[in-house]
Amino acid sequence: MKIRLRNAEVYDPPSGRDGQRCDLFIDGQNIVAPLPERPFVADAEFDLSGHFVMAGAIDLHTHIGGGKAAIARMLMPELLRPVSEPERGSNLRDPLLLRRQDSFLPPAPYVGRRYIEMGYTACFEPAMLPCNARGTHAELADTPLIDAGAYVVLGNDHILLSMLRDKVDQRLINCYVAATVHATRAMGVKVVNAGGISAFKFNQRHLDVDEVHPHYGITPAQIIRSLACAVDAIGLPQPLHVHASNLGMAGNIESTLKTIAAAAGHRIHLTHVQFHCYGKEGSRGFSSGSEQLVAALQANPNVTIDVGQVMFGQTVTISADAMHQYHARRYAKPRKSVIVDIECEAGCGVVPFKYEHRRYVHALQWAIGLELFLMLDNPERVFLTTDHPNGGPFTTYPHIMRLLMDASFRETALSEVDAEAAAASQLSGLSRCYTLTDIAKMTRSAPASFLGLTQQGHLQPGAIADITVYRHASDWEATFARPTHVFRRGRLVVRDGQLIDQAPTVLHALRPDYDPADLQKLQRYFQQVGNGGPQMLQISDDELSSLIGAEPCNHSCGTAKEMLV
Amino acid sequence: MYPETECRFASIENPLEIHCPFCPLYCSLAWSASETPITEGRLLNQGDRVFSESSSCALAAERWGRYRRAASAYSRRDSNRSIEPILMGQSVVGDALQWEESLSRLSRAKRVIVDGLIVDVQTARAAVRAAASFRGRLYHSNSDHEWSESLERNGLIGSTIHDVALHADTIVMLGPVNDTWPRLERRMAEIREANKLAPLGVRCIATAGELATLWANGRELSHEWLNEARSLAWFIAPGFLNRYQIGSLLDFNDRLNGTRRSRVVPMSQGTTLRTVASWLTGLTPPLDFSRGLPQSLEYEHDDFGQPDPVERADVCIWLRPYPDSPLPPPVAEFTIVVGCETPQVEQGIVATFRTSVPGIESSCLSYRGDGTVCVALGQIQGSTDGRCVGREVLAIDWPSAAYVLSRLTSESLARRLQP
Repeated sequence: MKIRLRNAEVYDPPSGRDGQRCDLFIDGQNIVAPLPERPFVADAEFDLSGHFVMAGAIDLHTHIGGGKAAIARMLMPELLRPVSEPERGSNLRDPLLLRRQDSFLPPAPYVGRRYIEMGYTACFEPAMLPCNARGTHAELADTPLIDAGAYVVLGNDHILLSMLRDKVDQRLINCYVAATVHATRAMGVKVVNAGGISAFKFNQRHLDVDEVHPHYGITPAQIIRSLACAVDAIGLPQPLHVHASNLGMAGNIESTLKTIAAAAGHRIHLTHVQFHCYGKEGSRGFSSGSEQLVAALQANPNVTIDVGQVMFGQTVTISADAMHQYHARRYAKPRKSVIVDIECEAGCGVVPFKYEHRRYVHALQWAIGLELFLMLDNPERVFLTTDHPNGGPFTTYPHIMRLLMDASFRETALSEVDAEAAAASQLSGLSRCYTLTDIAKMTRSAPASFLGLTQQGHLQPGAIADITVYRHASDWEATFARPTHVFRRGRLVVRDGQLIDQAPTVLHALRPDYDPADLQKLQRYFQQVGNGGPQMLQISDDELSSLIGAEPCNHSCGTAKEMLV
Repeated sequence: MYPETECRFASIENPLEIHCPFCPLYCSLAWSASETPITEGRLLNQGDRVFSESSSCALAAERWGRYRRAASAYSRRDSNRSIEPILMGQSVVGDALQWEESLSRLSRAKRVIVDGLIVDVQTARAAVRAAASFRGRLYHSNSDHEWSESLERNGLIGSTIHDVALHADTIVMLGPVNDTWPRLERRMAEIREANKLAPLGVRCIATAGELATLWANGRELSHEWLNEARSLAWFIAPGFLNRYQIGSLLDFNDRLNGTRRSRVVPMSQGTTLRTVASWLTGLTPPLDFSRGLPQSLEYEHDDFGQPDPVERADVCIWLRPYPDSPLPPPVAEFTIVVGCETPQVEQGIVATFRTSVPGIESSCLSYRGDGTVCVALGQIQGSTDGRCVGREVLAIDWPSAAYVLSRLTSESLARRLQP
């Protein structure tokens, strides 16, 4: 189908368009540039006067699959009973997509619906365990309407830690990482509390970046360096995704700075860094470390961050970091939790939690997140996340955008939180306001570039036609919560904030090369955990498309060119 | 009735490896094709290494034994070929009538129940969608409700089998765990040997009386072995503990973790459907879709009772993946059995649709007893060509239960919409 979008006010940083009016042309799944000699005959036209346009947004860190959320739902069904909302004129065929009240942990089909209704067209699950890769992809396949993918978790697995203990050649570690990414169809590699989850299995309750693991005799710093090196060596577009040590602990900014140093110049991405940015100053022994972190980021261009903004209200924290979650159990609300060791690979911790705006620590966490957004002046190095659902549900993104774009709104919000926390934060002194171009960079072009999605995150000819149209309004939250039109891969799927059409999930995966002969050399490590290693985890394209039911989209490493299978 | 797809046979040169599909242990079994030639398109497993390996496991021997006939030829698939079900010349004469009758009944039914035993993710996905599409009810007669209720009330500190094998020093078997999972101890011993670790200390508690003694003494850690254990795991046989005992165990386990690591490993069935239903609907079975959005049926009953699945319905779709799976109760005017052949006695079964056995005849996924991990069953590996892994699979003699359920659902719903 050919579609013309007339008079679009376009915000598209890669093409340098900063609100200029122009027409956009869609042919099939792609944005095209009409040839001068052949007039573009559109099947449908939309006049977008009074509207502005961006590419579809991309959430690079949101826990929407992989078993943890399922455990969380089983843990507290009393907080997650669905409440229906009236829906007029809907002709959706899938009963699982019916409109319901937003909750902090919606089921997979509704996650897809809410994301696309907010103008997000691609979302990435950041913590897929290798042994659970099939389940994760099945769950993502049941999250329709969006492009999805997952990062495979390494760095606490018995195989890698044993290899590091035995000081095997880095080339073999690269091979193991590549084979695991290839087999599990991952879009990146994540390390969670490097070595810490494993240490917890040996009854160690704390492990800092430079501490020696009680069993393997290696440090988290070594693990991070080795994995970051492997990610660079095998050509993954995305740097190593790092959930640093000592999440949530007062004074953990020191661990975060040591983590940056441990990378030794390799590219790393510090995720939900708000939770890793705490000092020990002040009468409460809990303070903001944002200034130190921003200084470190400015000195280390190899590092990017996403924030993990805290939003007030009930949520549930879900993480592979079983060591941290075990400590966090004492703050559980309601008072129950699940902590599980998983298959010599990592762990899982589910702890329900309620962030309260009148509590000093929670209010300061909220403020620290906003400080990070506002202090780091390059929106291409800081990404918008709540670490859904850990800091709050993804449905709060429009509210966060308003906090970033509207200084008076932010000031009002600050006045409503715990006064001591407000005074301890530097937020009141930060007058910066994000522009629409900043938002487009932070939520579109930068995450696409970060993930190697060359055809997404921008509106230039050749791009996939993921397009979000917003109406200008005085309230940015209302604007971003309800786009007037969302085109996904060239199809209009949302109109006036309502889902009007369905579309299957596209699953992105990287296919790094490795030498099978090198993998054979690692067989003894695979036998030690009894699972056969990456070879046994292999998921094929036809399994994905026919059995799991998603459209595979492979990217070769280095070039990251999209190949729809 | 089912799509007929040409099946191309390929000779298998390499030894193959298969994960035994019948329990969560992930036992890796070798299948030597050179010793077991393909005969007329069928690879007979009688006497081959799969059978001889699995004969050390009573559970696997029993189930493999029933499936000698089902050992199919292998087909080589490449990445461009669909894995739509392949029907390899099996007679379906007579099934067409049953199919027609089933569609007719389903298209007219006001109350539909989906129930039975579901052991794999694909069938679970199809079952939830079927129940939602028919605005029916989804039960899981084989689910361990005590565990799901205890999880809701207390949470838990748990683990998985391979983690226990590597990190625990003592395991406690509560109930007949070894009867249900005969190779459990041997499997863990293999992993410990591979890692040069000392053998696990094993304690068995077989009766309620022994358990009561453990509670009485164990709370004070006065058992010598309990006091000395630095890293414990509690394996619990399905149905051995009631909800109060589970609550006590979880509390005790929680307390033990103050000074050491201690984890529970409930060896319960039903985890797969609970997990899949939770990601699809936000809730776990039993579920009622009659009002559109799913509602949990548990809360329509008293807090201590299980919902009663014995209710009359127009149609009951009963999943029966293994020959020894439960038979359907007479709860509906018309019962459609999807799975293994079912003796048509006393149950009033009208239609049976034979489907492949998860993990043997069709590739599928299943969650282990802890509810957190899924594994591929029936995953086969060409051991000399690492890059071709997953390209060779068992040919499907019968369509999968997921496929049959999806077809039944979509075709009968299409009929409902016809004027």
